[in-house]
Amino acid sequence: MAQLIIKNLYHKFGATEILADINFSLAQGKVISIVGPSGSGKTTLLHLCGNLLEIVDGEVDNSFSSQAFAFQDARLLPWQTALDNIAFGLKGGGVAKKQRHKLATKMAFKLGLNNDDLAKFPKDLSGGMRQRVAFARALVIKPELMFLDEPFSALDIGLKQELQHLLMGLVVNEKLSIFFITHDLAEAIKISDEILVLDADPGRIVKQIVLDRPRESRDEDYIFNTTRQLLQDPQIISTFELNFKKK
Amino acid sequence: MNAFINIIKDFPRYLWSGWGAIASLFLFLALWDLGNQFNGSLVLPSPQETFIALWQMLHTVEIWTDVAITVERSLWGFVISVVLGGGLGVLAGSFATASIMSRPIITVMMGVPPIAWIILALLWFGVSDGSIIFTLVVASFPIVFVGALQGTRTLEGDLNDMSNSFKTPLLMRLTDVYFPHVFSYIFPASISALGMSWKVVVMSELLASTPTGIGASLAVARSHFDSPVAMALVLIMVIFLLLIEYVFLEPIKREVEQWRN
Repeated sequence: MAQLIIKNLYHKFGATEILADINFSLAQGKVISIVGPSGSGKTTLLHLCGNLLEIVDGEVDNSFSSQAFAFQDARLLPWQTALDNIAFGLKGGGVAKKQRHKLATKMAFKLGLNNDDLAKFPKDLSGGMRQRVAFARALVIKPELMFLDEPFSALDIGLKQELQHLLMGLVVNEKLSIFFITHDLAEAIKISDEILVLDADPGRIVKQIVLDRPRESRDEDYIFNTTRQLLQDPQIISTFELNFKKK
Repeated sequence: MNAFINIIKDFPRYLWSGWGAIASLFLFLALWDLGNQFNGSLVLPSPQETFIALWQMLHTVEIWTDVAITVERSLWGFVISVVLGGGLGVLAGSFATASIMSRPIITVMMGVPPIAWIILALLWFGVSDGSIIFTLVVASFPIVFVGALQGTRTLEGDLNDMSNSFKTPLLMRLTDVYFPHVFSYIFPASISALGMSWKVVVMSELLASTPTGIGASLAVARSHFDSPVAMALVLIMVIFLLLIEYVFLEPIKREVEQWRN
C-alpha cells in the first residue's frame, strides 16, 4: 500500500532553522492534519513532502503514484479560461486536447461549475468560483495524495462544507490520502484521522493526536467538545500562546 | 487560429466604436483651419490646401516608392529591436546580476537622443540604410529590452510552484506559464518601439540626406518652402501610424489581452 514516510527531517533557510526532527507517516486512505501557529514551518513542511523544495537533511519517502495540491489562493493562470486551467495538469500529463477538455468539463460540473463559468477568464470569476476551479484542476488528475495548504480559509461556510464533503467522499471511496495544513483546530478535528501539532522556532512536532471516532459519526458536539478539550491542553496553550491574557 | 477569427469577427463593432475618435479628429481639423486663418498659408497651410497637395502627391509614383522605402527601413529597425530587445531582455531578466548590470547601460542608451545617434552612425557607417537602421535599433531596442526584463523579473513564484506541483514538462511551462506573462510585457513595449522607430526613421532620413524616403521628400519640400507639401508629408506619416496602430495592433491587443482586468 502506498504511503508517505517522513524520517528525521530538518530544514534551514540560511542560518535559520525552520524544521527540526520531523517524523510521521501517512497511509493510503488516511487524512493527516498539521496545525500550528503562523511561522511554525507548516508550508515548508508541505513543500518538502510534495517535492516542491529540495530536501537538505532527512528522508521523505513518497510511494504514492500521483499527487496534487490545493493552495490558499487558487493560483490559476490568468491568461487561460477556467476550462484550460482545469485541464492544466492533464495537458502536462500528455492527455489529448479533446479528451482533457471532456474530463475537465465533467469534473467542473461535479464541483458546481457550469459551461458559462468554464469559458470565463479567472478575473471574471468570484473567489469561491476560482477555488472550485483550483480543486477541479487538482482532482481531475485523480491524485492518490492531496496536499491542502489552508485552501478553505478564505471560503464561505457553505462552500467549505461542500468541498470538504467531496474530499471525504473520495477518501472513503477512492482511498484518497490527504495531507492537510490548517490553523483551525475544529476543522482538523472534523476531517482528520491524526493531528500533528507543530510549534515554532524551529518547527517541531510537539503533540500527536489520534482521533478514533469514525468520521461520519463526528457530530457538532464531538467536534466542539474535542476542540475545547484540546484548547485546555497545556502543550496546545503554550504552542499557540493562548495564555497571553494571564500574563 | 481561433484568436484570428475572433479579431475579424469583432472588427466591425470595433470600427463602430471609433466615432468618438473621429469627432475629436474633426475638432482638430477645425483648430488647424483657425490657425491657418490667423497665420497665413506660408506658416500653416489650411487643411484644404494640404489635402489637395496630398491628393496630387498620391497620384505620383515617387511618393509610393518613398513610403515603401521608409516603411521597409522602419520595419527592419523594429523587427531587429523586438528580436534583440526581447531575447536579451529575457536573458538579462533571468539573472539578478545581469538585470542589475544592464539597467545603467539602458539608461545611458535611452538618455542619448536619437539625433546624436544618427550623427555618430553617419560617422561610423556613412550615408547608408545601415546608418538609419542602426539609429532605429538604438532608439527602440531599449524600450523592448526593459519590457522583456520586467516581464521576466516578475514571473510569479506561486504559479511556478503550481506548475511544478503537476510535474509539468519544461516545454509546456514555457508555453503556458512563462511566455504569456513575458509576452504581456513585451507586446505593449513593442507598440511603443514601433511608434518610436517610425518617428526616428523620418528624422534619420532627413539628417542623413539620403536621396530616398519620406525624410528626403521632406527635405526637398523644405528647400522649396513648399509648406502644403511638407504638411501633406506629415499627414502621410500620421495616417500610416494611425493605420498601423488602430487597424492592425489595437484589435490584436484586444484579443490577446482580454484576460486582463
